[in-house]
Amino acid sequence: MYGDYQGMLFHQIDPLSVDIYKLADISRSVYPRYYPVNAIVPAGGNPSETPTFKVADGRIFWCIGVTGRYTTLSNGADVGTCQLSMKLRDTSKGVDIIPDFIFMDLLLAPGRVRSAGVAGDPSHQVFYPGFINHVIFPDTTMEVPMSSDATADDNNADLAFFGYEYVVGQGDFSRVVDAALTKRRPGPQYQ
Amino acid sequence: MYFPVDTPPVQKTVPLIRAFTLTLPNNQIEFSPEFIERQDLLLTGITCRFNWDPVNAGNQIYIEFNGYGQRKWNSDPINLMAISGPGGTEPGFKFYTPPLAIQFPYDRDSAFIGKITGLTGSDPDTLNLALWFRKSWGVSPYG
Repeated sequence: MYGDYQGMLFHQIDPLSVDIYKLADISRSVYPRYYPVNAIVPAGGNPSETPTFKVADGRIFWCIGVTGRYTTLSNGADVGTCQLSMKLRDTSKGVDIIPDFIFMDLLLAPGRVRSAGVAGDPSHQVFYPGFINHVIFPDTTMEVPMSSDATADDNNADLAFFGYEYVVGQGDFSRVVDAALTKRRPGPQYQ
Repeated sequence: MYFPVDTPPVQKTVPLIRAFTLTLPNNQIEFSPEFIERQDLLLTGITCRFNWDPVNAGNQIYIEFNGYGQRKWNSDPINLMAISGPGGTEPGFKFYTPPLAIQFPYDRDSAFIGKITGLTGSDPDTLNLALWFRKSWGVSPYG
């Protein structure tokens, strides 16, 4: 997983001799980007909320992964166990990245979460992203349906899809995207 | 320090993450070609969570993969906790670790079989699994 980032897709930079001017020049066409997604998910429901984020026309977003946090309320207490599950769909490519509802704690680790004033034992202490690695084309809406197994309580979810965004028309990637589009092979298994 | 190259990667695969639920003991999942709907996939990771109860021996969940031909991930069942830091539904076991980088090709026509089994216990435990795949989207250099 991590090997992909080293050498193949990233330039390795020596921090002692980094050329800031060169990086600044590159950042005109590619820069780090976060897309936040948040929702208040009521108890029950399938799905009960479907937040989205949209990659603008003229931009390509290479989504490396997702970080986030969520509350773990159920039945009047902070149970410390993730109650929320989610799907993920790329509407442009027609790709269901996550076709089933998957508990968020199987997709990312939220770090420490505690709801103020609510009894319970929330003991999340590790923060770790989930790696998705997906290139999202311009003018694409990403759907994130969410569902809750909680009893009685609403839960908050704040996700951040992170990666790098490319400006169409700069750099050399228009050719790359065209190639990717024209090489797409039809058939239900690729949709 | 790393910085991305000035072109995005050509995407030949898209992510596919599937969820499965298993009630233990007295149940098992077999990852047959039908299980993955006869698609060509690359299994890249597993995450899981389950009830943690020493009486129910939630740590005695075993996983076994036998690929086609000579490809064998493990010839003997291996403890799920040994390969995937599980989240849990009891205090103290709520952490998650990144999915193991497995990189196991999943051929739609193969006799690839994986199996997860809970061996002991008296009360049902629920095991939630997420299987992380890559799915073909572009053209393979092999046609």
